[in-house]
Amino acid sequence: MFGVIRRKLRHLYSRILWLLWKRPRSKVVIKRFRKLNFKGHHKAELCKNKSTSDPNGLLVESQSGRAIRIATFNVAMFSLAPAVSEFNEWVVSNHENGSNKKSLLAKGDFPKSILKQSPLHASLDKAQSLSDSEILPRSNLKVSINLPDNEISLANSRLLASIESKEGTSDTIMGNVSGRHQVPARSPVCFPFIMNYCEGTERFTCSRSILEVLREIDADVLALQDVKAEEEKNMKPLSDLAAALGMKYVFAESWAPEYGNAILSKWPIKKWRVQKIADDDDFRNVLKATVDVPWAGEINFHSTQLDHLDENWRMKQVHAIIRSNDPPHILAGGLNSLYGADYSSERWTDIFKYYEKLGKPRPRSEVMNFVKSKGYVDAKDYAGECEPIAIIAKGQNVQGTCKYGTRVDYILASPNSHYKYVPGSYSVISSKGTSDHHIVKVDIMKVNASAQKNAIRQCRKLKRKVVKITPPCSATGVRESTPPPKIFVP
Amino acid sequence: KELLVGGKIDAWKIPSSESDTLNQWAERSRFRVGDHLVWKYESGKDSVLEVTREDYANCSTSNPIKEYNDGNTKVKLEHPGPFYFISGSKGHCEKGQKLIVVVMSPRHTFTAIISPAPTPSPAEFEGPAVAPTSSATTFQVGLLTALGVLAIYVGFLM
Repeated sequence: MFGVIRRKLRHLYSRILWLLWKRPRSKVVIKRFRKLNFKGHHKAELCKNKSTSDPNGLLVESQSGRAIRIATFNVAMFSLAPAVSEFNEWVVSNHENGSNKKSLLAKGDFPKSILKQSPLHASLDKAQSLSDSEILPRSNLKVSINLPDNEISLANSRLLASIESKEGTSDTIMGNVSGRHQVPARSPVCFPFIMNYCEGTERFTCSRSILEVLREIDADVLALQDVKAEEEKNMKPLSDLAAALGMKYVFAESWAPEYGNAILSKWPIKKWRVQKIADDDDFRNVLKATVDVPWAGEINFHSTQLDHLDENWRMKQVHAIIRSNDPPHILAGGLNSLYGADYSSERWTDIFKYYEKLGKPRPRSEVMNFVKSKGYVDAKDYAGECEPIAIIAKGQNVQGTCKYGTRVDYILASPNSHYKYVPGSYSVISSKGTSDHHIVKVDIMKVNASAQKNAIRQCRKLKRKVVKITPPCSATGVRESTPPPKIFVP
Repeated sequence: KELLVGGKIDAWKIPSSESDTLNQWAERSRFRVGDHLVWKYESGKDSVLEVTREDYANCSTSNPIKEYNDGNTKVKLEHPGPFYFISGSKGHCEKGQKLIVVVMSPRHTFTAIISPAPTPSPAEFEGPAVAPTSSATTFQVGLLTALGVLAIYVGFLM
């Protein structure tokens, strides 16, 4: 029995010696020291790992300063412009036919082009491109010094021209514009010139598609009104337009079948809903989408179009919108109401008379006054400083967004919004004949807390790490607390 | 409800000025399903063609959906959405004798809203980089534990 134990002990001893590479007892103590050193080295690696995550945090922080470009546009797809050019041959043939057939059209039937850009916006574009070399710099929009010819001004110049005794006065007031318009009335010999002018303009406008115009804007989030989307054709042509722009979309049918409001976004649309603001005879709606911007978090974006004729209905609709108690959001679209402060009394009188002559309802501003009284911030207040002086001379301090030269398309930020407008980024960009309306554009940035303590920063970094780790674990992970449920107002 | 096109008897003609186009009349009117549009014109000299959107844009009169030339045309708006009308007389459409009418949706057919569900693209984070480090950490900790136990065992035997 004792001998058996002795043999087993010897066997174990030799085995242990072999495992320890046959070293004496004193060296075993030295190995323990080495183990402790190894632990220290591992901690150093942990520190390195922690330090490597800091640049990511810094990168995220720097990215949070990027601007987001939003735009709204009434595309009026039941009108003439195609959403996407289908074939070059078709475009060429259509172009030729259009130019031939429409050469006799009156000059006033052609939509006018209005372009402008502020120098601040140009410098801002450069700054953005420098900060992010990976993303292509946004195309600089061209500046045109042509005066905007809206129908009201045209009608006024014609009225002035018709009165013989005031021709001199109209020349002084209207300048080149008046002279150019008076030419056909004076001499029929100039008619071929007008024909050539119309033909050139038509050739320019006929080849445009909505895709080309929107691609130039290079907006990140778009609100479109009067968009066509046929369900039986896979939501064409809206789906074609969205695919060509590389954007995701949501659509809500509005006051006519297959036509409605749409929101396009370069980033995922986390959720959307449609709020009906219907009356007995009208079916407008508000399309609400939550877009997940990678560096700024969520942004609530609403697209709507109010009634185009009756201000009382617009008031009902805007009441329904504001009564729905949404979280902070950006409201964009065609509110189809004027804002009295945009126009001088003379200009307002001209607009009034022209609407009366057409038989349109009188211009009203109750909707915009109400919206402003509720604390909505108008993007127009962040326009560039190089407004053309000629527009102010005409009695209004805003660029018109429709063919009457009045402003009916707006971008408004709700009170307590998490985003602010970038000064100088507001602009009205020409739709170049694709629609009766023009495109309203502005850049927004997330509001950041100015100063924080070191401990709070560490806590925030830790939270950010948690945020990063969560997505691969769960596909349906909620990155932020969901906003309070929206109350549907029937 | 009957709507006289252009708002007056002699409206279906080449517009005399830019402030008197047919589409401007359409812009200030509401059209509902069941309404009738009425055209008054001289039979034999003019006609009314209902066409597609492309034919409206190109003023093409060769293939209309429907054609009317009786001088007193009445068209019922049977479905909501846009209708495109042009004049059948040669050259009239190019001079502006054309009309877009958009009929509003009736209330009882507005129960279904066409809203496609978007498919969000997966988020682009750097999550996968974290897993190998933590795995390696766990492995090394286990190794250390084993070595520690072995050392204790050796001490006990000696």
